[in-house]
Amino acid sequence: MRYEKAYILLAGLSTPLVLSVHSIVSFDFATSILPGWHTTIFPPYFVAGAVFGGFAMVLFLLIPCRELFPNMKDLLTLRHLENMSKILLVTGMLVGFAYSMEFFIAWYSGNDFEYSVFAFNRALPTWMHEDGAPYWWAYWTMISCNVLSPQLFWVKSLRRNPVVIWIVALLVTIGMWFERFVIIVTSLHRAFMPGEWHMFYPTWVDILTFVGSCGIFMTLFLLFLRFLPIFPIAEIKAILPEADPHGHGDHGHGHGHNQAHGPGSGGVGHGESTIDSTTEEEGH
Amino acid sequence: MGILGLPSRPDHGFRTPEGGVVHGVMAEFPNSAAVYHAAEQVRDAGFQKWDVFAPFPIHGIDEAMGMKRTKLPLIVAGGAITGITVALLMQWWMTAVDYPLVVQGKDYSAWEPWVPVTFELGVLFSAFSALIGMLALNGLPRWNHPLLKSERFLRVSDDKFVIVIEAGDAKFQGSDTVTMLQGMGATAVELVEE
Repeated sequence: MRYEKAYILLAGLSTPLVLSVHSIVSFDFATSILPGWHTTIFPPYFVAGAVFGGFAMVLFLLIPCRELFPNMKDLLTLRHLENMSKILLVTGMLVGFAYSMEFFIAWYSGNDFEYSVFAFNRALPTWMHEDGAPYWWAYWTMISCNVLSPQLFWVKSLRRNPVVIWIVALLVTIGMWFERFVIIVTSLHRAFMPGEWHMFYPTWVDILTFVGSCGIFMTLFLLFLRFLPIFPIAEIKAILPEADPHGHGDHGHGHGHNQAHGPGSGGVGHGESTIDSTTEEEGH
Repeated sequence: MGILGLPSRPDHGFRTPEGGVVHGVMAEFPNSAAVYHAAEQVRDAGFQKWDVFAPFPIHGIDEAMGMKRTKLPLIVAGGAITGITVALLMQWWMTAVDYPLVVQGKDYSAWEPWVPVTFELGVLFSAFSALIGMLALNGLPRWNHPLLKSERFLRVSDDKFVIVIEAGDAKFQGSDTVTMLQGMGATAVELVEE
């Protein structure tokens, strides 16, 4: 009882942390004066992006696990995947709303620098306008991966197809990488002084840091799979019918076997129906 | 048998046939429904020092055992209030007393910039008090427990359900308590040595 209480209290305490961590990270950008960073929408935008990117990464890792580990499909069912796909759809549209509000505020605020960043430096391709954005392809990769690709999940057969979910999760992970690229690189490469405008070329250190961070993540993930319980069996057992002997609500469901032990252990109100448990099973 | 110089338990006078001090009586049940209904009867018989052991949490077993609500939420609330107070005092002392600095023309003791740190420290202290408080209320960590000497008890982490009534309980009556547990449908009853 104390353990369960501590469990739920810690869960309650860590939920607002999701909001505070990502909004405070976003303040690192929002409190600067760089156009493209100095934006009040950043805290909710980053929280939505974190939920979105997090669900995509979890699906990206779990779907192969589910195929490779025996019996994992019994615990991580298609219904879980479908519900997670719905979260991707919702948060994808929240992120898309944040992208569009950035454009609206750039125009509505009347700030010339903000306006010029969003009018010329984000979405407008160079082949459409001579003052267009050199990184237009990064912006449109972000939009198509993050906003358009989850729209597939409106179709039920697609959000119940693990291959489709895995591909969308991969696209969203790429799209969220490009979101950071768009925020950081495209804002920095054309700041206030046209004289310091330049393109970004990663050095070998930049590239290897990225490769190494993927490597250490996969190493730790595989160590987790090998050494820690992916599904804590003690918690799975708590949702077995056996763990609910007095049948709160939901009467007659799954109680057949553990009640059929004679009068000494007879269930509350199940006495008759449990004598022939096979009959009861057919009734479901 | 004191641990780390702590006094050992008071001797209640119950002995096993071999002469060891009795820790309590352990009754094994085959399933959760049996242990649940036995727990209700033990509760109604008025026992205080007893516990139910199962491979998983049994829903509603706290009511069946007549357990009072845990004080843990109060401890966590205390941790939260302490964290918030410490954070506010610390930031007030730093920005208004120790090194007053005008930032954007605001008052030295403007509280608005303190909100993130106050929130984070409140959560940190609450989380520590939830974990440490839970362990402390459970009497953990501890070196050993008399029940761990019993081979039968080990199956509690697999597929058996056990009720243990300690000999230190005021209602404990030796062989009468054993008979009572057998009457509740226990499949095996054994004495556990201290």
